[in-house]
Amino acid sequence: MLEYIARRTLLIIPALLFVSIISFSMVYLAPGDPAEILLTSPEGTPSPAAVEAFRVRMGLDQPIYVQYLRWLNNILHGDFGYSYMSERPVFDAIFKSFKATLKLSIVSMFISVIVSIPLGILAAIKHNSATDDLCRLGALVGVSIPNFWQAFLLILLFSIYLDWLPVAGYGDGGDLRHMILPAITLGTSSAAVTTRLMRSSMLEALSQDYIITARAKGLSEKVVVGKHALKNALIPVVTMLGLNLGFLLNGAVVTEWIFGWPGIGGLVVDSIYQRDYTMIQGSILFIAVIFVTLNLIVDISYTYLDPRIRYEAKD
Amino acid sequence: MLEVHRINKRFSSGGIFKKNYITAVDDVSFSINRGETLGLVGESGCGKTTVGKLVLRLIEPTSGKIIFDGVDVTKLRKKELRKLRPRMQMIFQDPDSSLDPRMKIGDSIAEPFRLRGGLSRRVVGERVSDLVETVGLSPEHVNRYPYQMSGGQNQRVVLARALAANPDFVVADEPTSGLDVSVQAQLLNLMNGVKSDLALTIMFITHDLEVVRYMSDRVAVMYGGKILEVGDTEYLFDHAEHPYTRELLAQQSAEDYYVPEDDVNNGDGGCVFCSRCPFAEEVCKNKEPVMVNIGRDHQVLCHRV
Repeated sequence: MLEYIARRTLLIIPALLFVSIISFSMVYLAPGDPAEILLTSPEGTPSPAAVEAFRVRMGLDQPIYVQYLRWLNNILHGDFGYSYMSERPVFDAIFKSFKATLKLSIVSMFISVIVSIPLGILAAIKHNSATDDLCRLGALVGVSIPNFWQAFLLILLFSIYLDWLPVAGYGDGGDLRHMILPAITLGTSSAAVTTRLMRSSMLEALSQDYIITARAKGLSEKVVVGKHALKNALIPVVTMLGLNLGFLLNGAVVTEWIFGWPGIGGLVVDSIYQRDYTMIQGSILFIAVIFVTLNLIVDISYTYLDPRIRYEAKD
Repeated sequence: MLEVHRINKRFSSGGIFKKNYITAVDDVSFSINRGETLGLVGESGCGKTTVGKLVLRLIEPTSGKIIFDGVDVTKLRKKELRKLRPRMQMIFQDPDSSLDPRMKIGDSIAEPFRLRGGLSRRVVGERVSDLVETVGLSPEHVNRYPYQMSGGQNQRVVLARALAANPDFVVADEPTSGLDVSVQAQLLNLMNGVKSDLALTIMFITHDLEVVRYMSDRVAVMYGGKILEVGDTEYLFDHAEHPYTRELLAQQSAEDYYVPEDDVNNGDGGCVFCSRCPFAEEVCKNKEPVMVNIGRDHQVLCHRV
């Protein structure tokens, strides 16, 4: 088991190296020079000498592989560098935005789980009934509705007509009242997809012979569904929830933007506009680390949920 | 022990606007005596598995009565039924899907004991090892998961688990069809041994005539949701009266013998077998035959007898 975890963890390293190389070279392929953008003021274009001086100061005159290796070396020493634009440490900016995104993600994940898992189970138990149809219809609406539109509808209803919640903003360090609407917006599609997966996975589990045998043994329906069916049905759902959390943590740019939430998605987009190389590279690497780590956690939790995987890993 | 009186099962399918009904089991009656094995033979799709599940009320019959040891199972309420459940167990064809993949073998076998309650861990452990031995597995298997075992071994586990409930009656639905011939023979022997040791009553569902001959005291032949002929096994194999039974016996197996549903004459009167019957007459197409007793506990559903 430990060996399996260790091996999976080691496999992360080449994945991250690959991500860093891609992100580094992509940025350089994009048109636009950070020196020029930064030094351009309302008064006009900067002098070539000033641009050149800036490039030398930031190390942008070096060949790209030298820049990459230097950057990598710094990263390995925990130094993400400084933003070209704000001249503040990149890591602080990333960390601050990530904290905002993390908060939002956890709340929206929570909303999505407490809605979708019970609904999915209910729909499966009441298979082909009106309840089931209603759940499926709800799920269909949930996946189909565009985020930005749903966000505006929620704002209209809860902030403008009812005046219960703030329209947008981060509030006092991202308090719950400011978080509710964006969290619901982000959680909806995830809840819809999870409901459907939970339903089909539960139906599949319930159709197995061991469920019929469990009933034949005289086990109560609660034990049959809760112990035998649910545990087996949850395996694919857990994977999906893990991946979903990964997507949420990468920042949902549109939703964050509508609600004025200072998350990591907005940070990346802004730094791309400004050709803030260090910020782009730092945040992409950071996001990659989060995503890969979550995948690892999902894989490891799998081995606890499904004994078959543990076995294959030993081979 | 078990008396089934005119059970029917219709499955509905189709959408909101138009519902289609498929009659899986059509007016079936039979009985099984205590300690007896009744073989239920028929090709796939004839409704034999449905009969097996109906008898244990794992699915609800559309109509009819099922009397188990003097109790009408169809009238029981959920709670009463659950109390009765351990006395009637079922074994399925596919051992791999019959076992919870997340439960160790020992836990699967122990569950019926734990359900009964009042037994200490040690006693449960002892009972489990006894059963493991009874079905010919070794003690180290207890800590394995189903995927670490072969199909034959898993079917032994399924049998042990069924026995753990201390049943009087077991429905075995093609328990050996998914297994190799050699493993099949071992398991059939095991079942016969267990049956006589524990005085079990068994309903054995299969398409394999050799298996049914080896296992059963009496045989019922099913086609198109109906039982066409019932009789003492040895007698029936030599004195089959129904044209379908004879056809089966000539084939030696009902396997690979699936007939499209259109060929089953369902609904508008007449015999279910008439469209395939080489002896069909006018009366067979228009009038439904009734079960006739032709002596020696031998009944046939055919106009010609």
